[in-house]
Amino acid sequence: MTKLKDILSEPCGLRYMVESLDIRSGVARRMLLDTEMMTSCQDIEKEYAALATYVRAINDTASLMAVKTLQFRLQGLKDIRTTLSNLKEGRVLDDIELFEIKHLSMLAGEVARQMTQVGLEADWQCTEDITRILDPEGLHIATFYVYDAYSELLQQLRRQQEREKDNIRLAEQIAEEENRIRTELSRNLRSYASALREVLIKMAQVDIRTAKALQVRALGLCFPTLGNGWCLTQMWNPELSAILEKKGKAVQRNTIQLGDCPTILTGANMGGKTVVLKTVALCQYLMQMGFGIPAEKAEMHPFEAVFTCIADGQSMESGLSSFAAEMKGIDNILTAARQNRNILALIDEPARTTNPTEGTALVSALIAVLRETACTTLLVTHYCIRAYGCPCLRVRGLENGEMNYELLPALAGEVPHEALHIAEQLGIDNDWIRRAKKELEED
Amino acid sequence: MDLIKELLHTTSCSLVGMEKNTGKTVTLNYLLQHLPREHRVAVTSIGLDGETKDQVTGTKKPEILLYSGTIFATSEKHYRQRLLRSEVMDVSDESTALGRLVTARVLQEGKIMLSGLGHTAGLKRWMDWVKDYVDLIIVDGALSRKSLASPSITETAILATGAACSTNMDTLVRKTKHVVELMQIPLWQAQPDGTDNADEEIIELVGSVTDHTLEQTLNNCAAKGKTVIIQDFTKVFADEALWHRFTTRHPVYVRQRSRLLGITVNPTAPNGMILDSGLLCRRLNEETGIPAYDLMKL
Repeated sequence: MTKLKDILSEPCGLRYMVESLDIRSGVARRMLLDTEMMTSCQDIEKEYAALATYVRAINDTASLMAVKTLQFRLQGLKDIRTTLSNLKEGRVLDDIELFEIKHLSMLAGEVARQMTQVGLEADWQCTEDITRILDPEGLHIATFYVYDAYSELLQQLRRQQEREKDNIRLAEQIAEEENRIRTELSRNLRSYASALREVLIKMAQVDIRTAKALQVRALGLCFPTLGNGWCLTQMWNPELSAILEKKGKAVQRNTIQLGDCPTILTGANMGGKTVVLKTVALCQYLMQMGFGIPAEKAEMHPFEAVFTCIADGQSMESGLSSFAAEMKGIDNILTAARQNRNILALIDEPARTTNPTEGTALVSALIAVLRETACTTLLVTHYCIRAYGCPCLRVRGLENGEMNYELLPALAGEVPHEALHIAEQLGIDNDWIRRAKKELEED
Repeated sequence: MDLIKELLHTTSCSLVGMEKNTGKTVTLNYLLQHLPREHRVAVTSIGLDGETKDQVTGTKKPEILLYSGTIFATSEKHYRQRLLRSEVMDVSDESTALGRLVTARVLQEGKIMLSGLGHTAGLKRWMDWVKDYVDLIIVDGALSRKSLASPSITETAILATGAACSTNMDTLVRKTKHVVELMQIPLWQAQPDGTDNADEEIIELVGSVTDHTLEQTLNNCAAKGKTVIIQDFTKVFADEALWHRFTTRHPVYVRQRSRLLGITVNPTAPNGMILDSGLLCRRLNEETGIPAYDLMKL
C-alpha cells in the first residue's frame, strides 16, 4: 500500500500542501504521513463526508477563535502509545506514565467540550472514569503523583516523614506503599487501555481534519464528486500560485478532462505543460488522501496506482542513463496497464533525449499501445506524432510577447513551432538563433 | 546578600562554570537555599548535572537540594531516581540524552539529579512555557562551553570559577578575567524589524570561533577593520592572546548576551590545594569590576 510519506517527494507540490497544514500535534503529523492512499470510492466518500462536517462547522462558527482554541487544546496531544501498550500488557506504570494517562483522559474531555463549541461532535466515550481514578482529590489539575488520598497509611507515613526527615526505614515504607498503590492503579486502568488508544487516534484525526478544513477555507479548495468521469474544472497548483503571488502574478487555471483514450498535450517550451501534468498528479493524490482539491469543480475517481514519469530519472547509482531510466519507468507503466490494472499514467516528454525520428516512432507507438489498455493517460510531447484518434490539447502559447498558459483543443499532430521565438526572448546568443532560422528556411 | 537581591529582580539566570569542580552546584544550592521561599523558582540544566560523583574526575559532588514548591525539569531517567516527592506537570516531546524531559513541582524537599535539554531552541521553548508559573528560572550551565545549548538566552548569569581552573592565583585571575571579558562583549543592536543595518558592512562568524577562524579573518584583506558579530560568548574557543589581537583590529559584538551578576569562587582544587579565597575575591573584583564571592564563607 502506498503511504503519504512514500509519495511526499513526488515533484508535484504535494509536500507543499502537507506542510501548509496547520497540524498541532506530533502524533497527528506522524499519523498523517502514515496514511494509506485510499482506493475504494466508499472510503473516500466517507472521509470527505467527515471533512465536510468540519468545513461546515468552521464556516458556520461565528468567530474562528473557537477553532483556534480547539487547535490549542490539540497541541497538548502526546503520543503515549508505548505507555498504553505497557498498560495493556499488565505492567505496573510509574508516575510519569500515570501522568500521561491522566493527561490524555483529561485532554479528551477538554477537546470534546471545545468541539461542541465549534459545532462538532466528539465520537469517543467519555473518559471521566479514568480521570476519577487518577484524580482522587478531585483537583481537576493535570498533574500527577501518588496522592495521599489513595491510602490512609501513606498519609500517616508521609506526615511522620515530615518530622523524621532522615529516617531511611520510613522512606522505604513509603516507597513500598506507593508501589502498592501504583500496582493497584495499573490494574484498575488496564481494561481502559484499548479505549484510550482509540481516543488518542481519534483526537489525532480531529487535529488532521481541522487542519484540512482550514486549508480548504484558506485556499478555496473544493470537494470532488466521485463518478465514472474524470474532469478538473479550473484547476491550479497551490505551490506555484504561492510562488507567483510573491512576484505579484496570478496562476493560470485550466480545465482538463481525461478519458479512456490517452490525452496528448503539446505546446511551446515554457508553456506550463509540465505544470499541468504535475497538477493532475497532485489533485489525484490529494483526492485519494482526502484533502481539498485545488479546482473549481472536480469530477474524479480513484486509481489503484498513479505512475508519474516527470523528473529526469537519471541515476548514477544504478548506472542508468536518462533515456534508460525513462524507458524503464514507462515499461513499468505498460506492465501494470497490460495486467488490466486501473492506473493513472502521467508521462512528461517521453523519448525526448533520443533522436526525433525514433523518438516520434516510440511515442506514437506508446499511444497506440496505451489506448488498447484500461490505463488513463496524460502524455506531454513535442513530437509530431500520430494520435490514433486520441484527444489532443495544446497550450495557447506566445501572444504579443507574453506567454498564455491556457489549454485549448488541438488537432492531431499539431505541434507549435515557437522554440526559436522563445529562445530569442530569453536573450540567447543571437548568431546561433539566426543561423538556426536559416537552417529551417533551407529545409 | 547582594547576589540574592540582584536575582530577585531578574526573570532568568544561568550558572556558567569555568571548569568542572569550580563550585557551580554549590552556587546553585546556595541560591535555592537563600532565595525567599515565596519567590517561585524553576530550575533546569543544559547537560548532565547533580551527579553524586563527578563523571570526569571522580571527586565527590554535592547533590542539588530542591525545596517544596520549586519547579524542576530533568530527564526521565533522573526523574525516576529522585529522592523527593513531586508531582509531574508535563512530559515533553523534547528529548534529552537520557529520555524525555519531565517537568515537575516539588511537594516535599529532597535531592535530585538535574539533566536537561542539550539544545538552545528546546531550552527556550521550555523557558517560555515555565515562565508563567514562576518568578525566576535558573539554568544550570553544566559544562556550559561544551554543551550545544547556550546559556546566553537567560537575562543574567553568574560565573563560577575556582582553583580547579588553576592553582596559580595569577593564572586563575587572568583566565577568569578573559571569560568575564567574553561575557561582556557588547550586544549587537539589530534594527527594530530584526534585520541588520544594510549600510554597515558586517561579518558574521557562525558557529564556533576558533584560532583558525580568527586568523582567517585577520588575514583576509577584504575583511579589514570590519565589524564582526558572533552568536554569543560560549562560541569563542580561541587563544586568549589571539583574541585580544583580534579585538584591537575588529569591533566585535554578540547576538545574545546575559548580564553578569557576579562571580563565585571555589578556592579548593580537586587535588586538595586551597587558595586564599579572601584575596582571590578581592583580586577578581579589582580586575573585572564584578563582585566576587566565596559562598562557603558567607
